Amino acid sequence: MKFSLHWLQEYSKEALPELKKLEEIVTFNAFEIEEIIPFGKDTVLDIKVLPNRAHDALGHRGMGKDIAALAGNTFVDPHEYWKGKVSSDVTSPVIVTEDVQACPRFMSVRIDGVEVTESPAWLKDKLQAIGQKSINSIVDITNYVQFSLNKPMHAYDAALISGNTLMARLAQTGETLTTLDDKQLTLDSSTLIIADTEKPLGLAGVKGGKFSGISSSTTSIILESANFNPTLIRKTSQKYGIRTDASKRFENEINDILAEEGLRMTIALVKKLNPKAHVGEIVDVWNRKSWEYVVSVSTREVNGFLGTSYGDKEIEGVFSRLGFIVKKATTKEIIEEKLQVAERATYKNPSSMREDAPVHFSCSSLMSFIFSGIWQPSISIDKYVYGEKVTEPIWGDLVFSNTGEGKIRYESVGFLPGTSVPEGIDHVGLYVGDGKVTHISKDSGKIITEEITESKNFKNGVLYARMIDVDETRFFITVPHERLDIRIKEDLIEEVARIQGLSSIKGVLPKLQRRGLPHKRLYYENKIKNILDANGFSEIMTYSFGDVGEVEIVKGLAMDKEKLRNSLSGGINRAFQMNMLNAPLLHIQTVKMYEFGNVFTKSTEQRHLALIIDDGKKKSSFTDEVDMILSQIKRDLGVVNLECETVQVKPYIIELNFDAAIEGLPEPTSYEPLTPHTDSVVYEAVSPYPFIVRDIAVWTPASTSWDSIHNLALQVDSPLVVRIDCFDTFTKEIEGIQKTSFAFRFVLQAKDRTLTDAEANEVADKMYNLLKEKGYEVR
Amino acid sequence: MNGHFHPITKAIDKVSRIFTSIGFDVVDGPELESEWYNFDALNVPRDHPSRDMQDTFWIKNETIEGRHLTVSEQKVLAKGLPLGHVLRTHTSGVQVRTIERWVKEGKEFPLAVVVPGKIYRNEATDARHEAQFFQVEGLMIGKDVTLANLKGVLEHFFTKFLEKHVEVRFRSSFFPFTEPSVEVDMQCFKCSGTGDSGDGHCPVCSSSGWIEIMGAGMIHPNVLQNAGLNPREYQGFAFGAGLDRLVMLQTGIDDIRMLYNGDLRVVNQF
Repeated sequence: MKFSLHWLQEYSKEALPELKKLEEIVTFNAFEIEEIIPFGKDTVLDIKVLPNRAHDALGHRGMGKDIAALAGNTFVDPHEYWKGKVSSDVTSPVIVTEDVQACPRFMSVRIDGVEVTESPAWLKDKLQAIGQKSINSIVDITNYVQFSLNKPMHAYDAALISGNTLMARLAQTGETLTTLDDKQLTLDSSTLIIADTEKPLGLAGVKGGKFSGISSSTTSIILESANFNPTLIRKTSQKYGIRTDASKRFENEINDILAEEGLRMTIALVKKLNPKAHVGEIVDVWNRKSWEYVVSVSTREVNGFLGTSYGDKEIEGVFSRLGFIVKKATTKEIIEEKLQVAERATYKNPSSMREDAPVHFSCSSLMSFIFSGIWQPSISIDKYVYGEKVTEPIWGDLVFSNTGEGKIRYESVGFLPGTSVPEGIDHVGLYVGDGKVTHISKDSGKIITEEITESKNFKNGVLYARMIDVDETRFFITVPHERLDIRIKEDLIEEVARIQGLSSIKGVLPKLQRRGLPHKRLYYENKIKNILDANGFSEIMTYSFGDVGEVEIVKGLAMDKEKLRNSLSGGINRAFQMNMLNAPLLHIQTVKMYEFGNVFTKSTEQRHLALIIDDGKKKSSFTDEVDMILSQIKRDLGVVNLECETVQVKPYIIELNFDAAIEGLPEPTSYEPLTPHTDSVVYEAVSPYPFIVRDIAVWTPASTSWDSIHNLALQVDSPLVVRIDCFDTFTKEIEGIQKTSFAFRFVLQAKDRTLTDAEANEVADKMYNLLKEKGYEVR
Repeated sequence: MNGHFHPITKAIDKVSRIFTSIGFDVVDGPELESEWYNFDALNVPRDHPSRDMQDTFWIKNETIEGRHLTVSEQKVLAKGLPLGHVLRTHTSGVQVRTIERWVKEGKEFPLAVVVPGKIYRNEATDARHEAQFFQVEGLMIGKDVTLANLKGVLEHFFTKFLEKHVEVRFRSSFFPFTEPSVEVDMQCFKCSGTGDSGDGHCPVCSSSGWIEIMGAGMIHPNVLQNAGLNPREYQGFAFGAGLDRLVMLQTGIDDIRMLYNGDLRVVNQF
């Protein structure tokens, strides 16, 4: 997303660091910067915001806050959130949300007496900097709020809304909608839309409709500030192929609280541009309770995870810089505090932490509540499976029992599901020392503390498990509402690591006191590769995709790449054909290759080995050579039967099921390295253009060496000559004089074009001349 | 005369030699993987934007049947959820398979493995992008394995692989399967981090002195739990590096496609 540096500066009390320094801290401690673009007096940063920070940092305020923390600046929120007087003459819109899960919050307001104009320069400039077109004052304001707070907003022309009503409802099958950009959509019944009493107005959270938008004749507006279910928005956006700035934000999830901030900021801006406008009463349909997250971590945990030695001060400093509310306490102190908060609570089962605490609890939700900021599973048996099992309990351990009544669980449900607890568990309480337990149950109806041995609920015997060392001092963090990415202690540890600087972590190589082992395939594969290598075979790797095979890909790269290979022979044969054509370039007569690769059938994936060998000549046969290699493989691996399929004879291809071949072999006890080759580190790029071959034969005096001919030939000094190879030489008496004949081939190729015959002839002529000048007779 | 090993094979051999010598086992896993191992178990939920971070080849479910299913995969089906299959988009799926095996066989921790293997991405190919390439995954889990251990292991690995002292640095990042997550840069082996390998420039690192080479981090507790380990007791790191890129940087091969077309003009240089 594009961010304006001027805009980001508004969130820092002090000046931001100069660009180079800013780039460094953002890159190392937070986000990847994809591009920095000068924009007049401003600078635009294109910053890659990944899904974990899409809840907050896809807006300038969230990004500005993080940058302020990174720079050690003080975060300020420059925006105004309207708190003005409600005009009673404005009729508030009616808001209807049909599905609580689909639309957890919907806020709205009607503003009368609005004039839609061109936007003021400051607003236009801001939007232009981040690549947004200015439309009109109202639409620009909603966009500005979206890119400030990361909260998509929508404005309707009140005159075009029937019944002064906005509904978030599922579409009826066949209903149609024309989007702002004139796309005709036919809707289905799983699509959430915003509608008035008569017609669909837009795809909820994705795109507005054409017939309710703001125009120059608009005088009254209705604002929508809602939050939607992320999965639903994602599915809708995928189904209709419409991705927008709004859908991107909703599908990544944002906090309901942003709905109110977004709405109030929008109203404030509308009022700023239209001082005489009348603002109606805000309507707020909030289908779930606001929930504040507390997460905790200790200094020991931070250092034990990162391998660092930070002190309390450094860690606390990080949280303060990020604007987190920090409370330093022991878990015991927190539990005692929470028990007081819950003092008057009554029993309810099942009960939800979000909806019922601290008024009603079940036995297990009470434990989750009092261990505020300490992660533990919800269900009693899961808490036991999660905890450290102890036999001598101390204050703060959990006490579990099988009451013998109701539903007793013998296996964990949500945590390491299926873990067996033979004693059975259906109840949990807090051990508070002296053989006493604090708990809530159906029988007591409220929180009580009693002797374990005298408790009706614990009389059948108990198990103890420790969630945490309750005496250790921890940092209890109240997470800022927009930071939905901070939910567990590891998330806090990440904040410490990145703000303190990952560069301060020093590498420590762990000492394992053992040698590692290869997997069986690798061990035996290397043995075979060494044998093939010794026999002059080259290894290739080809594609797993092709046009032959049983298993198919939903959407492949091309029509002929939509199937997974069920054998290697096709690929290796194609490679053979190409390499035969290149034989002069490679200076080989016989192409010998092999490939190890996985092949696929409907029900299996197996590793195969294919081998190909041929020289392209009709009469040659390679069966003996291959048989010899196969017997060497058998001998070296200790395989009794090596079942090979002879795929074809010309060129000679065999393929075998490698997995089947090694099935009965022993597990490796050491790594089998490949035969060392001298590393050719500098690779010479191959030309994609065709080469031309010229053969020359010369008579020379009998004592002439190939080296001297070769050196002479090199004097043509043409970059086009890529090989000069002698393929035949003999000595013979001609007219009483011993003469030696050399037949050699030179290969011409350009790196950047297809050579013409004329170019090749020119080089050949030059070579003839060199040979003739030396007195050799060109045959 | 000896033949030639494929440059990727040589890299895998080198990786295996380096890691077995410091106590890491080399393991493998299937290329055609279920969405449980490739995504769900790795904390990449269904219908979540983090699935978009990798372009995926999905398998037509009707073209596979009767594949061996692990206990975890059977559990997905038992919940009534569909179980799609993909060409694995990373070697990380082997993380969960390996932990499961360790737990089942009662093997001793720390668990330390590397997984060199072929992976697939559904993206248009060019000189720098291929639909198939190789990754090496690394994984270490114990009671006190730290992010500092990850850095130590990577420094050791790059130094041995490139046969000269190489520094490693971390940048903050995000992957669903690690927390904290880091991008790893290694010091440029060509210019030794100076940004100048002779004429005022360095072609290998574009004169930055550093090369972006992999993603890594501490394994997310959800992943440990999905694999059958209690994150209250166990912690560890994971990394995944592109082998092709390492090979290309080191050898100067300028087009990744040259590794997979079976061309001996390339292979026979090695």
